[in-house]
Amino acid sequence: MNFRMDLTVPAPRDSIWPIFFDVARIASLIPGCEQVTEIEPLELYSAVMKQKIGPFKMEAPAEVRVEEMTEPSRLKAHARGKDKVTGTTMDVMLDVTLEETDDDGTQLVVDASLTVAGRLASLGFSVVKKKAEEMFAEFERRLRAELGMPDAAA
Amino acid sequence: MDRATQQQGAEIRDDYLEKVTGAAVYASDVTVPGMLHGRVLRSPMPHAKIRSIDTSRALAMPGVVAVLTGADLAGMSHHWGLYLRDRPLIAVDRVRYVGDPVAAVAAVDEFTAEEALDAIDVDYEPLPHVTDAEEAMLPDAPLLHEHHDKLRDFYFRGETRSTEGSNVFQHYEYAQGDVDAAFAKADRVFEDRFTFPIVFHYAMEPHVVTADYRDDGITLWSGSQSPTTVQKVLSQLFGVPLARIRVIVPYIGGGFGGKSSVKIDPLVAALSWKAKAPVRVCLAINESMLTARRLSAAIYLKTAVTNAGRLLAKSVRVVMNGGAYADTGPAVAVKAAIRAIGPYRFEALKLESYAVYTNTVPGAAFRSIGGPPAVWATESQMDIIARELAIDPVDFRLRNLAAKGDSVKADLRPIDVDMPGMLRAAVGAMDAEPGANAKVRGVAVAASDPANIPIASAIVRLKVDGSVLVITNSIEMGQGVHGVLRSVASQALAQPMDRVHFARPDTDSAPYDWATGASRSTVTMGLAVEEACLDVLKQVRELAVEMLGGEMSAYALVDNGVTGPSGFTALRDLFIRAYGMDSGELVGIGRITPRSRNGALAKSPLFWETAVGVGEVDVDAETGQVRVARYVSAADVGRVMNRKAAEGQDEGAAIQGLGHSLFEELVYEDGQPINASLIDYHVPAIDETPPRFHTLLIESGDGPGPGGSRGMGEGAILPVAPVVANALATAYGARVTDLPLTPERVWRAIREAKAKAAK
Repeated sequence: MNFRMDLTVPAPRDSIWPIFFDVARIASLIPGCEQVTEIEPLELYSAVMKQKIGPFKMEAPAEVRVEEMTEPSRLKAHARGKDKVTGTTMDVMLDVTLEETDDDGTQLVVDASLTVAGRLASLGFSVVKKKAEEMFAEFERRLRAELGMPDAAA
Repeated sequence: MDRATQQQGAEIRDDYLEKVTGAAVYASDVTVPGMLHGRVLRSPMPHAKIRSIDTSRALAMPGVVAVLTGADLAGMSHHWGLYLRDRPLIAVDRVRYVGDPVAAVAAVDEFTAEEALDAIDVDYEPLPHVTDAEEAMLPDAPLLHEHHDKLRDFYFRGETRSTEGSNVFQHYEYAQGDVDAAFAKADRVFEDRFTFPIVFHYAMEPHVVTADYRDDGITLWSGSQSPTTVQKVLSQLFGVPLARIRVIVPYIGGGFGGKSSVKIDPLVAALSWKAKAPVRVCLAINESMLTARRLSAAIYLKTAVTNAGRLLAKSVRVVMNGGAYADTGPAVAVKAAIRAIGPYRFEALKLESYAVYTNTVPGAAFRSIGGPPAVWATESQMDIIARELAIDPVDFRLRNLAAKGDSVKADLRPIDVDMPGMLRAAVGAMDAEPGANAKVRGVAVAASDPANIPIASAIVRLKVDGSVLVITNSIEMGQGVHGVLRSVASQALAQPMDRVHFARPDTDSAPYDWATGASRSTVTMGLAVEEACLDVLKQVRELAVEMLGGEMSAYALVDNGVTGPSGFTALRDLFIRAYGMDSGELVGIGRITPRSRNGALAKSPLFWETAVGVGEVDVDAETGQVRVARYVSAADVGRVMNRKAAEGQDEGAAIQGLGHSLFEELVYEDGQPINASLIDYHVPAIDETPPRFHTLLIESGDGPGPGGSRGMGEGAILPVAPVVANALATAYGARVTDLPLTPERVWRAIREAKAKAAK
């Protein structure tokens, strides 16, 4: 499942970058992502992904690895978690690019790909997909709020 | 008693009563003393490296006896296959599809084994995956198999043409005539692309094997359509002589090709080896869905015609999705290309097909291998052409159908049935149906060349009390083969049916047979049983001449005795005269090989399996929902051996075809099969079958089998999908080129056709 978010922020890139530089802060914008702990600064973090998908409650310890960081234009992170109860694994790739626009604003692009495998994926893919869409929409809402931008719907 | 009398008389199948009373022993009913139960842990990843497997928690659970993983296979040659040795007994360092076996647990009961699966920790490193065949052919596609270890003359003749370094494991090419010249002189050239989905066999009984691996040999009770192939594969894997591998096959609850060649037998044998005890593994049906399925396909057709409606040339290109392991996919791809020709005459032909590895359930044989995708494309395009040329679709086919004796492909036996006659008869039968309406009608024809390898043998034993035992490896999976073979023996030995018995297939007692499939058993095993009976008959006459005098030809076998110059002698009296005792038997053996009958059976196909379908649809144009209101299925089967069973096979094949026509498709998203369960995967229910269904069995009496019979049971699945699509074109001018014909696709096509017409 691939998601993409593309928005123009009326603020210079250098003022936005600190949000992404702070991995714990950006991770906390992901719905259900809790207990974000730094293990290796700007390299490795641990977290717990809590989700309710259909009738299933999942609690997946996850590892977040920063795969690429080019200040102040790119952040690529990879999160993997496994829920023991349902035997479900989740794999999230997050690719954020920040580009300066001509009018001193910033073009922010977030590409996310989510792979879910295991019982939940084979039994309830459509439910998982719907949940993932909701989560990404919520992430977008929170990120806009963090950037001081109005809701997309507004 | 002649055949006609017999058909009107007693039921020739003795499995019905056993089955309806629940007494029948199916493969899944087998129990063996000391037997453990196995469950299989499967990959949740479409493609991944296995970093590690930790079985310690599982092994510590009470009741768990053994866990088999790739680590147990160190030092042993553990890959097997039918065309390519590409499949490990169990995943070693890599998984290639969601469902790939990763570990197997043997425990005291199924529940414990299932619980133990959750206690096995597997660490995967995901790899890029590909589930679409055409994407898998691109140069930068993830590679599933780095090396191609090919087998030759193993299960089918010859070998596959695979391309190492790519995912292509079969590339078939064929040409006849001057293709370029034929296309150059054409008035019109039609180019179309059709797709056919991944569909599941949906046998009611899942795959099941009980294996007992001992130092002196291996015994299996297997739901297998091909016990001799199981023997062969196990022999090579474990280094055990064929003579020490015994495969017993009880009744099977449906096969449809999903249990042909070899499926879970090597894994279960290996688990028994590890557990040092007999182990039964009975898959859940959703695991069977992850074990084998039909190869899906994209079919490209380019066809040259004259304005007068004469076919000139055809170019066929088929790309088949073969899944993670080749299985018999190479043969399927070849057949798909050939079956796309149709029963038509062409001046020139160009055929090409590919079978491609993808990260999906392994493709396998399925009722008419390659046939349904090929006929779906060809018969849809025949209709497209007819409509474009403003020729009636039936008339267009009649102008081009091969007559009996015409060749459709130079290296194959010429068409051996009257196709135009069959088409006329089927249309006539539909016209006679109450409510028949040509305005909502579709038609399709098909001809397939079954892979009916002419290697079969049978033993027939005539006992002193006149009872007869027929011993073969023909598998009863609901199609009625045991009844047919008993009937053949009853006729050949002139003994009443109730004295003729059938032994349960067991490789220790029954002689070699290739497999039960490809519509072959009535013909090949029927002939072998006939030969075995002739052998018995010869021995009876020899004995009679020796004991009673006279000429061999003067003696005939009759009910429980012989008649000769001195009248009737009971069999037991003949034995007493010969052996001095009321004991003994005569044992006959019959063999069919490509060398039998001066090589007359060697040319492929042994017979053509043909079908005509005529159907009328009832469509809700608002929702796009399609129902088939009336259907006529016709085939020349040579001779009907058992009418009830033959009609059942014909109806069953057509209804199975209705499944892929309207409903069935195994859907992949992100490498995950998302509807691999009986809840999400729909096959036709009884209220979705045609309210009126007519089977027309034509008996030309000139087939190669006993009584002039041909094989049957796979033909009627072929025309259904194009019949329905062509009926939609008749009714609405709507054309759908992708299966299944879901309400959404049909609704869109009708809307598009209406918009086009309004212009």
